[in-house]
Amino acid sequence: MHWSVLIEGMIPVILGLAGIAEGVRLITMERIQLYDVLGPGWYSIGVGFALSVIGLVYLIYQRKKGFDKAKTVDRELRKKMLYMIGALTIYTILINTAGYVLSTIIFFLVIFRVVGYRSWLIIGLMSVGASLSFYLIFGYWLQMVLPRGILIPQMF
Amino acid sequence: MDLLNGIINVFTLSNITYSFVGCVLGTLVGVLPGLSPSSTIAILLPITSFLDRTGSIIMLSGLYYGAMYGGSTTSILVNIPGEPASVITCVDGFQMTRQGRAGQALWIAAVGSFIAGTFGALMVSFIGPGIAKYALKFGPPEYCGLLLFSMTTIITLSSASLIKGLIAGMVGFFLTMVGMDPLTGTPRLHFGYVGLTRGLELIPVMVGLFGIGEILSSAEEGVGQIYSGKLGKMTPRGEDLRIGLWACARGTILGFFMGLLPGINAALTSFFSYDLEKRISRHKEKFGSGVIEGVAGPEAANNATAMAGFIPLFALGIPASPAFAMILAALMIYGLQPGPLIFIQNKDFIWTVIGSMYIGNVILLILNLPLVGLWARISLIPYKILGPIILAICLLAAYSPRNTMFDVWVAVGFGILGYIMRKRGWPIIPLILGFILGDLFEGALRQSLSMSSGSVWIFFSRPIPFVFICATVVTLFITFKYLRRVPKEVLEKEET
Repeated sequence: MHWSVLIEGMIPVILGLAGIAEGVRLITMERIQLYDVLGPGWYSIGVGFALSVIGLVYLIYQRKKGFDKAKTVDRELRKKMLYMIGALTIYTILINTAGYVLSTIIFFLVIFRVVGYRSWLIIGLMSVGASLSFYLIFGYWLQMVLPRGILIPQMF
Repeated sequence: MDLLNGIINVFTLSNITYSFVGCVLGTLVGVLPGLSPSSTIAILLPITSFLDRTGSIIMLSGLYYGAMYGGSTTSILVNIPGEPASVITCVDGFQMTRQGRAGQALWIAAVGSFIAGTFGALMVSFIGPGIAKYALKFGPPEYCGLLLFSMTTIITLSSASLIKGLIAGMVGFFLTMVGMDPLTGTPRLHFGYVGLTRGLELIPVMVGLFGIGEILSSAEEGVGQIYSGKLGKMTPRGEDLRIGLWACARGTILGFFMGLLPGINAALTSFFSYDLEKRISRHKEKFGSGVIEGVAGPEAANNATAMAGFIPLFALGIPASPAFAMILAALMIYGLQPGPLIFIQNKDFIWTVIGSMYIGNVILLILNLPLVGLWARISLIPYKILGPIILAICLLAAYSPRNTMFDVWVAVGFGILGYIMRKRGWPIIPLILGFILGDLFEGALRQSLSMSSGSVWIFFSRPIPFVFICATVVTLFITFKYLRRVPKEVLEKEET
């Protein structure tokens, strides 16, 4: 069996076991709940048990069926997608410290470059334009409370 | 009378604007490959929470049925379905374009969509309240039966791989257990982390799985731009017109009544309609070479199904397709409980939304006939502009409901999960349905069992839950029987 199929099958099994363990914990907490016969514990055990069983069935089924090969992907395009995930992660980290507007400008600078724009002038103009438009629409017009950041709290 | 009031209510500047914006966005979503109505609704949900409740639902509904209109445009012009429901339209639609008959194909698709959409709106107006009246007798066991029945959707939407769908659905159920238990408030599965005790919010999960996940997948697939060509003559004449309109009528009836069943979505009914047209045609061999009924039937069917789904949604609270699951989530976010009481407690709201469907169909006809050339040109917008902007909106959408960065991380995490699931052929819709229905099911099940002191007999001794259990078995049987005929590619496309 291919390792990726094994991981796919093990995830529901592990989640299911976590559900069962949590259910047991809740049951042993022993609260008197006269109005709730099933209670959160038994429900959790039920869902966890079902999930584990289906996960095991999947593993057995895949073992018999053999491994489905994933579609082949262009390496450059995959790289592009990974850069996008990287940009998203950095943006999420940055937003609390740099504030919404600055981090969004940085995010757009990176991502427009990643998706294929070459001229930094165009990238810069598009990034600043898009970020300010976002701020005006969501922060100013729709009154959303956007993160101000700790670096420049007085600016935005 | 209620319907008339509803239609009158739509004629305010704000409601007409919401309907127009929804229809425009829907057509845009339909035209642009790589965007689906469900993901767009997921992305727009938090933003609409700043808008008027009725207007927002009018807009989201318009977006959904508008996408069915728009989806045909790229199928016909460039052989790329904007929507899973328009996959089958490519077969004859694109052949018509190659023969210089693109205008006729677009005309019949728009007119068929209009006929089906208006018929659907009429049926929603007259059937919906009747069903809702009956559903007023529902208690927890009845709801439990109903929810079990609506879970058959999970099975239907997993038919490319049933076991993967079941696992995804169960994971959705599992995720609803994170946080406070709905009846006693006991914190579960929080692993000592405060953020998790509040549970996972629906919006970041949906935005991640649909919005971010879809953009990441599209980036890897290299979705680019598409059309350059001429439309030719618009209105079909003579025999073509007659055949096309009859196909529209058949597609409408088939699409509407099949669409009432949970799990039978627009992609499936458009395929069934194509299958029907081919079976009854005197020239079966011509299908695939550009016959007008191969476009008219499926396009009418997918629009009729789109409308039919509003009946179980409004009257019973059952989402018949992923996009309806999003609209259901929207209704819940606005504090509305879809189900029979909505026709009594929120009379003005519901009839205005239903009234907007008539207006929306007229708006869409105008948008899709005289302006079809414009939509064809819009499909030229490069994805490298749209993708980054949509990603930034996704993160905002995840942040806005509770203003916490925890939700943004949840969205990014689920975005990566959504991407992996798409790549590895795991259906996403069952996961989201499990997540939406899990809480409701748990509440109804536990209340029912408390009523019967723990006996499951309560579900068999009362007629309504018993009927739902039987209906579940029958639906599963029908689903399995008919899904065998649907090509795997259609099912896989619908899943994602």
